Amino acid sequence: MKQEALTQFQDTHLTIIALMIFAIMFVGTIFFTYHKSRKSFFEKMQNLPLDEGGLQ
Amino acid sequence: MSNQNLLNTYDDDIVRKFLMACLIWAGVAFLVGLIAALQLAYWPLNLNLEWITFGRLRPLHTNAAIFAFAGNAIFAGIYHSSQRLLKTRMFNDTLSAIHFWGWQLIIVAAAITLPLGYTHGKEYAELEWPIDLSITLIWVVFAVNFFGTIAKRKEKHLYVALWFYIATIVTVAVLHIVNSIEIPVSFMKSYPVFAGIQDALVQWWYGHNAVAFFLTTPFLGLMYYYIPKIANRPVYSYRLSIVHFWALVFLYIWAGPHHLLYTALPEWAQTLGMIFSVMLWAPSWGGMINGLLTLRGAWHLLRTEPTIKFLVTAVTFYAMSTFEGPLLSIKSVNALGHYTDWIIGHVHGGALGWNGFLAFGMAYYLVPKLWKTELFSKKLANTHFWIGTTGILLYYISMWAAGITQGLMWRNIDASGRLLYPDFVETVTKIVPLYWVRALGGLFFLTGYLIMMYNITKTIQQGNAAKATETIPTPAHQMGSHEHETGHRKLEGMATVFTVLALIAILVGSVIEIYPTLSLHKYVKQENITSPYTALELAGRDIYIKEGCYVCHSQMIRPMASEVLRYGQPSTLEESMYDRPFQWGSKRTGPDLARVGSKYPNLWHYRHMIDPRTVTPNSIMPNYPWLVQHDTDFLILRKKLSVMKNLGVPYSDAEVSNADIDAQKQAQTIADDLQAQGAPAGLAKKEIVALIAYLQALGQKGVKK
Repeated sequence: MKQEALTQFQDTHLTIIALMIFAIMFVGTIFFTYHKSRKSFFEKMQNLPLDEGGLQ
Repeated sequence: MSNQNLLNTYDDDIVRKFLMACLIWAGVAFLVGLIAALQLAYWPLNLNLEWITFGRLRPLHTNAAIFAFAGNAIFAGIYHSSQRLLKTRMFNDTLSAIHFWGWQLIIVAAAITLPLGYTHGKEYAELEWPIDLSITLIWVVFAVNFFGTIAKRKEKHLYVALWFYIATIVTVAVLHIVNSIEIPVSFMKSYPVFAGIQDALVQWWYGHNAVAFFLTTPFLGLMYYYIPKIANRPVYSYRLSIVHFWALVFLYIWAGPHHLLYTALPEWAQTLGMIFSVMLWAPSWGGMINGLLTLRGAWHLLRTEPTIKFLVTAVTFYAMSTFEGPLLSIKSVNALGHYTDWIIGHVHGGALGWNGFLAFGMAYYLVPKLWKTELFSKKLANTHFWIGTTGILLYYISMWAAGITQGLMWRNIDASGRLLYPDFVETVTKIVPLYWVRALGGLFFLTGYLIMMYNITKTIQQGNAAKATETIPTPAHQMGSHEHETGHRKLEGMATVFTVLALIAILVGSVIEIYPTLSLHKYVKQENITSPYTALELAGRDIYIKEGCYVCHSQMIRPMASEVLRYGQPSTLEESMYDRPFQWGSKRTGPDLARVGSKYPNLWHYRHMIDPRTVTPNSIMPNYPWLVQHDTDFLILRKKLSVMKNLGVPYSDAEVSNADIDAQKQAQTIADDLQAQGAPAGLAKKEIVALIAYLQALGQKGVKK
């Protein structure tokens, strides 16, 4: 099935572009998300819905 | 209140309006859904009335549920939570009002035009071009108002819920505009520019992502705001929410072709759709776990707070639906489930359980807040919860059973290589008892809704909206430069860049899937090219679309032994290359019609449309007596063929200029044949003849049989 599917796909440059965008996107997301320096920032962000200040 | 004081308050009036609209339209959506369910269990409830027959009522139900009920719920939640997360009033009250009243007007227009038969014939995108244009305009108003609010915000960073709203606004705009590119023929009739396979891919790219970006991402945004808010504790993992967001918006857009498995769509596109659907398990369940674990240490609220019950159950149904969706996208599972009621069960698990319960939970939280009072009765809310849950389970389980039963019956071949159930209607009558159970489930759900409306009405009566004005707190963070920030943190302060990146994320999948199929010549085999419909057949096709026949009949024979035995050779993409819109369908309450042409005499079709049971005993199809009363509009055929020719259909100039004359000649031939076989005289001008011409043309346009 895989072979048949790929033989019908004639725009292989799109596959390469998509793969690169995917790889960059996922590596970038993981890097930014799990960087140690952001711990305090995330703690502040996750409290935003609770931080209304005024009336509840 | 002075203007300055007004600017220091949240605009909750618009939230109340959208919330009330949501709750009122919910009643319409649920009631019409129940009627449609009863019509399937007991066909006489179609009442021989064209305006409420199942084919026209079902689109009304889906549009009411998606755009009226869920749509207004989304807007209520977005307007409420965005102001508080951004610590500012909405950008412009006038835009808010235009958005509200414009959206309600669109819904009313849909409620009038769909029963009248004005439809594109494309699921969840049925509304005709003037309404499509209105949707675009109102969506732009909403977008300007939302992004304007972001621009004047007092909180620098955008909480994760707002990302989901941004992705929703941007993606729905792209989906709606691309799928609605159409050429008007008259005030309420148009043809899409895409045809056949292109139209199929664009439609299900839209249809799947309408579920993704209208029924999933905005509700996830609401989940990320309301569950922490109501449980009074932060989201379980903010890191996980970031990964959840980017993975979901990136992957979801690719999965549309799983609606077209085993069709004439190129194999690579089907495989792509299947793989990305399976990959969706990860972000979907990551988000679900994040939502549920937000309640860590507060599970006792599940016993005491009906609002939490609704929200937790909603997330649980989200988990089930997002497990089942990818499961159904695996080709071998899809081979059994597709076209059956299993899909209907799957959809309603998500719509009633996820969207419905999340909206109800939000309403039970918001109404007391917005009217500055307590909920009238927690006991009634708990009763609603249990009745509603029972209703969903009855619906879900009965449709599972019906779908799997019917799927197995369709494919059952005996030792001699023949179908065990060759009469399609046998596979329908078997599951009619389950249709009654489904209707009972719908009745439970509607009853729960009525209890909620009583409870909410009493709550509002004891409340005081005028005193419930919330002042805007002093901003915790000053908006300033981004120079000392890096990475995602900086990105979250840059709404424009963030929006562009989200747009790129959804465009990558869209372009890579749709672009190759725009070069249709790569896939069309010259020896299989078909001839276009005659003028009369085209008129009949538009009647087929008007009556919503596609709701119950597919036109796509899959390459499986049981389908070939039952219907004939598998459908080819050339067979529908001039079809605007494509009519491959997504459900077989009745049999596939791709090769029904020439299978029966004209008189069979005539009798079948007047009373299906005269030729197919036990059929549950409605009667269509008005087809012998209404005249075919021959005069518009020149315009229709002209538009089709401009779109690339190979009609000659003579065929266009003589369209009405040619159609009347063909109609007379069919009418004469009908009369010779015993039908009444004088049918040539009637819609039934045009419809018969179309049905007899299906599968007869030059392909091998």
